[in-house]
Amino acid sequence: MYLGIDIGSITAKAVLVDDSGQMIASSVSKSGFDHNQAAQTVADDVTQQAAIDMDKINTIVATGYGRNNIPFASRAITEITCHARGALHELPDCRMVVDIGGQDSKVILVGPSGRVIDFCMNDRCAAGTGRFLEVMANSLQIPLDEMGPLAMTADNPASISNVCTVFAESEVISLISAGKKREDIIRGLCRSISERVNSMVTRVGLDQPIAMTGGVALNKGVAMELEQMLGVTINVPSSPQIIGALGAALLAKEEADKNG
Amino acid sequence: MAEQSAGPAAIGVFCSYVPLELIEATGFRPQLITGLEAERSDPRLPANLCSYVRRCATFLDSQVAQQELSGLIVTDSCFPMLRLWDNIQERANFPFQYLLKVPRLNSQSAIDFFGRELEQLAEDLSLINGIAFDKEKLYSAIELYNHFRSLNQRLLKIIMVGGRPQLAARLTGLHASASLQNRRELNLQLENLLAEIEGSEPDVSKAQRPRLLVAGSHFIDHKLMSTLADLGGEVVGVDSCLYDRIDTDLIKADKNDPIPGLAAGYLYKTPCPRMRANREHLFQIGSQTDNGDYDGIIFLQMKSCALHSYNLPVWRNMMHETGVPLLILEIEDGEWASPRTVTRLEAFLESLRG
Amino acid sequence: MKKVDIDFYKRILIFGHKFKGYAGLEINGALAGMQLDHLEQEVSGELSVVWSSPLVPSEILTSFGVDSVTPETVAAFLASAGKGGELLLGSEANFHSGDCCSFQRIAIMALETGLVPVPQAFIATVPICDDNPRMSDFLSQKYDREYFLLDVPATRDQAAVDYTVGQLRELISFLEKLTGQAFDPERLTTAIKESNRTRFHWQKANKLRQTEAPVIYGVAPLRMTGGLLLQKLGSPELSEAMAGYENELSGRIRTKEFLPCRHRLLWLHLFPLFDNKFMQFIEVELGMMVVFEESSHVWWEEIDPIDPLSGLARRILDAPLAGTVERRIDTVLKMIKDYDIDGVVNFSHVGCKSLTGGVLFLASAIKKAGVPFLELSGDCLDNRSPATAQWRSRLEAFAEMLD
Repeated sequence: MYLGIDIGSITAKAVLVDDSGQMIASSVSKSGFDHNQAAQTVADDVTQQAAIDMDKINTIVATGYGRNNIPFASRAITEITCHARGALHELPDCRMVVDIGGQDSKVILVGPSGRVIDFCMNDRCAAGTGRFLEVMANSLQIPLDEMGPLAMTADNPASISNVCTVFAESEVISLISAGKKREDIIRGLCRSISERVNSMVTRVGLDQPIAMTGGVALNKGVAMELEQMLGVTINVPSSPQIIGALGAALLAKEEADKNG
Repeated sequence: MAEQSAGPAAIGVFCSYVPLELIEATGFRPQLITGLEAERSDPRLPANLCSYVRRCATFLDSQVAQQELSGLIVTDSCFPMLRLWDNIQERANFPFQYLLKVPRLNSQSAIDFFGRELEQLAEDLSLINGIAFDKEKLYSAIELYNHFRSLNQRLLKIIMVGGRPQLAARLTGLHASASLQNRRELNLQLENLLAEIEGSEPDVSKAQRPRLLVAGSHFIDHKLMSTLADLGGEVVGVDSCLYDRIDTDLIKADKNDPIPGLAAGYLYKTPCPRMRANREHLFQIGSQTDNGDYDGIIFLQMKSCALHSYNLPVWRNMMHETGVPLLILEIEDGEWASPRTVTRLEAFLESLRG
Repeated sequence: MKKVDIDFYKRILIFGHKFKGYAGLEINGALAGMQLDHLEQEVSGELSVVWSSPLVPSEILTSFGVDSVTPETVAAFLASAGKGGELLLGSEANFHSGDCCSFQRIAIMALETGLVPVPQAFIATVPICDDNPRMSDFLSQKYDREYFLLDVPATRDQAAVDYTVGQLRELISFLEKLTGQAFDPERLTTAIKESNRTRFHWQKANKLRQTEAPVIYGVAPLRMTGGLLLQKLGSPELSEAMAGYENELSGRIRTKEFLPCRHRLLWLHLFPLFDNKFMQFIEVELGMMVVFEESSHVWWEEIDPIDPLSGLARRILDAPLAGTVERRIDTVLKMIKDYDIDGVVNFSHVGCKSLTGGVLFLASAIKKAGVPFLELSGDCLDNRSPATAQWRSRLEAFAEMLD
């Protein structure tokens, strides 16, 4: 058994794969302040699901922001390499991964073997990330998971010109006071994220098939805007937020295979 | 690149240091690109380049640009402009693409250098039209533009008197469309505007409005001017680095060789902060303010224009000394009439009225 | 005006010299000593100092007995001493916009807080930076000092050379007025010869770094080059230090003191100066050795001491960072070949409109050449909230990618 743990800025994820590389359990929970504790929680959860003891696990790879704070992991690998590997597993010909997480968004160019050829990440501000959507959901006073379905009902998307989260928030408030419909504002926000991602795609050079991973991929509005902007199909795996952890688990297996 | 069915082909010009007369004289129609043509900034360029340059980059890819422009002229006036040139070199494919080198000084050697640059540009432009560069044509183009400048000066004087709150907005509105228009037609419109105004008395009751100077690093959108009038203010002076350089001081050119006069004219015009002479210009505004010409000053700082940013403490200090209130309004991408902008303008006017 | 606290500098420089860290070289200590000497002489009034942009030919200043200091070096020094964030906070309170480069904002605050003496004059030039001339203009008004703008076009044809030579003549007249001395061509010839000597050793040292395995960590030359060296060209002390640098390198190669190297990196632009562990993380922990850096590149030809002005003009105009981006691209592609580079890292300093604006094209040209490219961006002087975790993730992923 191989375990991948992904400690992101907002959520912690774990994926357990068996000796043939098939996923047998996964878990998602809040990261909180104690990364080690969060890792322990999701690890316990997947081992319970699989009804095994921790000592049955051959290798553990940690990834994500908290990757270096997990003492029980045998190795830390960046989320870039892990997302590429995980996406290739879900979408066998995958050449490009768009991963939008809590505080980072990235575009990764993947080679045939899952090797990272090039990548690009957002700059420091939160625009174009999950945090951006969270702040905006707050301003609009709607639950985060309702944003995607609402965005799909928009008929006249609002134009959000500001790229900065703080300014965009005040722009959203202005749009609300101007009587703009909520779903149009949300769709405008999705478009604004897509624009950010589009510029990163341009930087590394568009290639396909594209897999979209990370929690924001659950928002259909963003995926659809991105699809229209890039003019290509965006493939979203069934559980996009655990792809990093899946990649980590697969890399754990590969490492063990290599070491015999 | 589609030839225009009527009239000469258009050459897009990206900074107000490019003499429009020269383009006109070589058989083209100059079109000053203000950045307002594009809806938003090109997301591929880094955010520390100003929105003028990032919008121009978006505009270049647009169908309008592809269909209407036969060529582009960019200057090396600042680094964002130079990077716009790099973008054009990499991405655009207009039949004529030219980088014009503009000195930062207005000394004799700088004028000589710029004169040679202009001569080269004139020859290259003439070559595409298969004609020889004709200095007489340049002289008459200068006369045409000087007529425009003198009309403009008369209008600005009337604006300065006050009592016509919407006039600045109307004038800048005409300027905003100037880039698309024939200069002769524009002159006619300015003459009509003058005739209309000179026939009427200023509304003295409106002279009670706060008298404003609008300055800044933008091509100032007329919507902002008219918002100020609607909010109860009156713009009596405009000092934008794009506006003044094109539109006020007359070019003193020699009929036999107009190039040196043209070069000097463009280097001596109201300097933007890239020019060594910028500080003298600021002193001049300071003394106008000291004379009581303005009740308040609005400085529109284009986000990411570092050249102007270094003047912000100078403006503050100057206004502190004269006691005239100053509003520094940082404008992001095209926020001319955004609620955020309007709220600030409204609050500033409220504070001026006490 | 507050008295300059020389002890502050002594503490930091002596500390830095004694504990050279994992990578210090003799030349770093020599340069630190030279700066300290000059500062002491400036404070005591023995030495006349002007602030100048990195490309202003210091040989001309030296021939008038004037020492040149680049404000960027002052800012870099203060940021390395951990004072960047504090001074930037002060600059915000003084209404300096965040759109101005932090190098200039810190330099302005260094004068305002009396950390360094106010120079005699400001001399700026334009080919690689818009901010330095604007800062010089601002400060010269504020402190009532003379300001000279050395205007240079963005091309390098003969017209540009002629115009720039004319500008250098104007600079000479400016210095005659400033110092009250007549220009002495012989003193300029001496300075040019000295500058050529520095160039000779510098170029040889660079050549030595093309060896198979690195013998020094790249952070040492990264810390000393750029503005710091260019501002002292023409001084005999710099020639000595550079000859020592060449010796140190050749000595290490002779005794085969090669360092472990997982990947050979070319470093472009700057790095976070306030974070002493940053380069260590890259070179020691990740094993990605900076075998060459853009700031060490010697791009100019030897200058003819008989006709120095046109050679000096060409040095300014030919700078790879000046003008359009294609020059920088050509230079970087050549470095990749010369130094057998595995990967290129560009730390884009946000304040720099000039270089960050062209990174897109630079990146695509490097990738087209088949070499991986990583861009990190941030402010290399502002220690208030660096994106360290994100930078490290990217670097780790880059190392994984190069494996």
